Amino acid sequence: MSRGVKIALAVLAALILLVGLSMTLSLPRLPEDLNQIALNTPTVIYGDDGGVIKTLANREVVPLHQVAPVFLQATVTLEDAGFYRHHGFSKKGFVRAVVYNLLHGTLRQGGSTITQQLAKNLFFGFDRTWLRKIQEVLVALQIEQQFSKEKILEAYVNQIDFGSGVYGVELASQTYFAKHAADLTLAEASLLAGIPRWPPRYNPFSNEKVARERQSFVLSRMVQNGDITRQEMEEAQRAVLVFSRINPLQGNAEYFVQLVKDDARQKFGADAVNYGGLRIYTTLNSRLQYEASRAVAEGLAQVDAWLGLPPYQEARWDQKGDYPQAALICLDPRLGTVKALVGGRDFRRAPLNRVMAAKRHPGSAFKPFVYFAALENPQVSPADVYVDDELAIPVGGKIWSPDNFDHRFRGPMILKEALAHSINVITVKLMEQVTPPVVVKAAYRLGLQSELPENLSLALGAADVSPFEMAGAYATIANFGTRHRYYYLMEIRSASNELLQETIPKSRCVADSQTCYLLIDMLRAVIQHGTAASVRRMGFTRPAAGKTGTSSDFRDAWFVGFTPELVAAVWVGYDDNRPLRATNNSGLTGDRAAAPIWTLFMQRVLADAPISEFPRPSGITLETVDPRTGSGPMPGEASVEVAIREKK
Amino acid sequence: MIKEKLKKWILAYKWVWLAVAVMAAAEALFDVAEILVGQVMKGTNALRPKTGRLWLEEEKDLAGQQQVLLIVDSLSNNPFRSGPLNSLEELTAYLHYKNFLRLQREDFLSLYQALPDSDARRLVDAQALAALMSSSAWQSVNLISSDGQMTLIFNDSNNQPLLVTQPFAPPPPEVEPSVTSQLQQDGRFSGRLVEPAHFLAAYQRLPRRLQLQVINDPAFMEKKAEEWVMVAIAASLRSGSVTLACEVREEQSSVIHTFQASELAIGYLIQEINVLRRGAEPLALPSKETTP
Repeated sequence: MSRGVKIALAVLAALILLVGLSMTLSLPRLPEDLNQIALNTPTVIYGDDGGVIKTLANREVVPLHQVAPVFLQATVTLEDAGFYRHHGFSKKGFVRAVVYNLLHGTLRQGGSTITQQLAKNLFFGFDRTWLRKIQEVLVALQIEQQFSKEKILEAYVNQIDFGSGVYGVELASQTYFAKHAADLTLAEASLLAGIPRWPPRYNPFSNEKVARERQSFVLSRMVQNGDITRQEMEEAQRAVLVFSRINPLQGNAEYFVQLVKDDARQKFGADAVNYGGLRIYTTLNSRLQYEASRAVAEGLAQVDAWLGLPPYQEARWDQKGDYPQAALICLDPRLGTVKALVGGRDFRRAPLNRVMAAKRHPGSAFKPFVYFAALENPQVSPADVYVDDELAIPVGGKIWSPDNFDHRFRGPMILKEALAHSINVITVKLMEQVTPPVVVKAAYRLGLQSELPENLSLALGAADVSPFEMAGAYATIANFGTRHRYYYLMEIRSASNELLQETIPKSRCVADSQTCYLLIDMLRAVIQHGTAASVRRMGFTRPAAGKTGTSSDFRDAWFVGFTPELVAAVWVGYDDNRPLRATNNSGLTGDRAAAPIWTLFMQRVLADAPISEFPRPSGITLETVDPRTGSGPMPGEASVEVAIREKK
Repeated sequence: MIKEKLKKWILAYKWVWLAVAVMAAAEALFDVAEILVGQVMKGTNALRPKTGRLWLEEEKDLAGQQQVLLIVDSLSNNPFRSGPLNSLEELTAYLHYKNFLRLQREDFLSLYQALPDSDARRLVDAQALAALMSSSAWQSVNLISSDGQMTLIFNDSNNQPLLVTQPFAPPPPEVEPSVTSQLQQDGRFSGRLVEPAHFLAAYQRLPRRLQLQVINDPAFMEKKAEEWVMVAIAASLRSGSVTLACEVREEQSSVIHTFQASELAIGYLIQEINVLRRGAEPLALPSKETTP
């Protein structure tokens, strides 16, 4: 070999060494712990019982012994059968990938080992270049030298993407099956193990059929690898998988969580909330929240059926926007706290929090404010008789003739019955007598905050209000005139327990307890035999009061009601204001669409609570009267019990 | 024989054996290379930059924690984490919820200034506050809510009360007719009179041990501030002690109670009184006993 060649070779070797070294030195540094990302304290939102509503991290790290062995087997078999033998790089896989890529002229086939995938997840993006591939291999080789196989597998299963915005097997198990990773069955584990290769495609929430096909593939690979028997595979294929759309382990309060996050971010900044490890204590009750979500889901399924829509779960992503929405808010009228909040049917598809942001016409659910304003005058009694007949009111040079819902006029009746049957004409007459400004002031005093027009059509709910406002105003009545500033954030503390923010409950007396009781008594009749009688038909027997509401052309269906313990407002409607019309063209009223959701919710959350009555304040007496005349009933005639003020 | 056969068989497949040997060697070499590269990477780990997704996340975490530290810092001057309190009503609601609140002197003064004048004066009279402010003894205030009553206890650094106020206490029963001070007319105490407010505040500032050396009768000190008419401190010692005259209302008139106080304790008391009466002529210490 000539001297020149030797020099050239030496230079070439030095160059290769230099390039190799500079490439090595430009690679990312490995941390002491592969789970470092997930180890920093995340911000946690707690409920009123100290339970976790949501951890603001999209992964939850668990040690390997807390993951079902079948899942680990499935993952290793599927992703990297030679995992326990190689040093981070699979020659066989590499050769196979090179051949495939050369034949197809692409870089689609990666042949990556679990260690390479981990390196990619931790440090690199998803671009497929040869340089990136080499970098991944180099980092993978270091990972293998620095960490045990168990640590590598642990980091891998805690980092991988399982779709639905969740990473790591623990959170994936909770999200899809509402259980911990340690408790996964073979059927569940094999389904989960199949997702990471292509999460959007194999996500069982969006594509259950494809996910099950993928599961079968995983199971067959496990049989081939000797992990399981053919019989076990067949049993797993036959197993019915119950997917949990409501995750009791991590909460099902996405709308509420978003509300809390928005509030906290506004106050402390996004970095502090997302990465600052804050501890946010809220008033939300996880059990009530779970039942609220369940009731909304079940109630809406019935509404969908009436509207002739296929089950929501089966609808395509773009079709889901065409489904009706619902909102439910539950308050504790005595403490002034928010106990449950469901802002819509699917946070991922429609994240608008309708409890707070949707301003809709309340329809007849506004009527109690008119009656309240009237009853504040001691001269007005629920037993007063008004006549339900044709009415003509000149408005701006035209004549307005309010009609009843069923286009019938019922003649004379006492106010209690007029409210129970939601008689429009009598409510407008009362409004005219009390005057709109007085009603508006009373409604504001009780807790409404939106702009209310001072005109007679307000009596029938022609104003835009949110479910939160409505629940708050009804809660003032349920609380016998004490109005709270309803809150859901109790305290925000730093990771080191420094108090950063706290809420001091504020309340004041805005109405007389006697007036409130008279109205409660009237609203009880709504449920007992009035427009919300479906509540009783559904078997809810506890003392309860409430009012239905249906806005014009069935665009909004409301039910706002309360027991002595809880107040809940339910709204159902389309976001784009379309009428809620069933396939037979009948409209969905508050009684039909919203009251069942309220009833399902209240029935379940109060199932074990002792029955309590609305306490009757002194100065109130009960009288039995004729619902048409307001005087003592004739024998054999209809009668109704009415709470009235004692005559002095 | 067998040996020959085996040899033949090996020679017949020598290329296969060679290929196997080469592959095994390559495999082993590759394994060694993998380990070697891994070790080089491990050795250079500390020299490499913190780049990539993991470190970006780490940076965000640090930024978040930094942000929280800044928030904690900025809140250190604000004892009310529910937002500023702008009225006595809000303070009452706050205390009703919290039951107890301890404010440092500066925090209390900020609160005092934030409240409307009339509300602030109900917490503590402006003159009494001025007296407290004029001394360095006052350190903190304990605000206590109990049975719907708010109590403010102004403490010194030893947590000893200097002054106690109750903003919502019922006004003292009107005492009619007003009682004129007998001590004011007593020539022996000329120039030795002390307003009860100053005396009581100064007394509260003394350590318990000295308090008992001034008036060794805790029951007497239970009397309400409005019952006190005047206090006088004798100008000289007698039998090693100083006569302290306290004039208090009893029924329709006033009664003078005298106490023999220790010279040392009276010295501290006068010192405190002079601090509180800053601007007025200082009260002199009692003169030593003179032999008749």
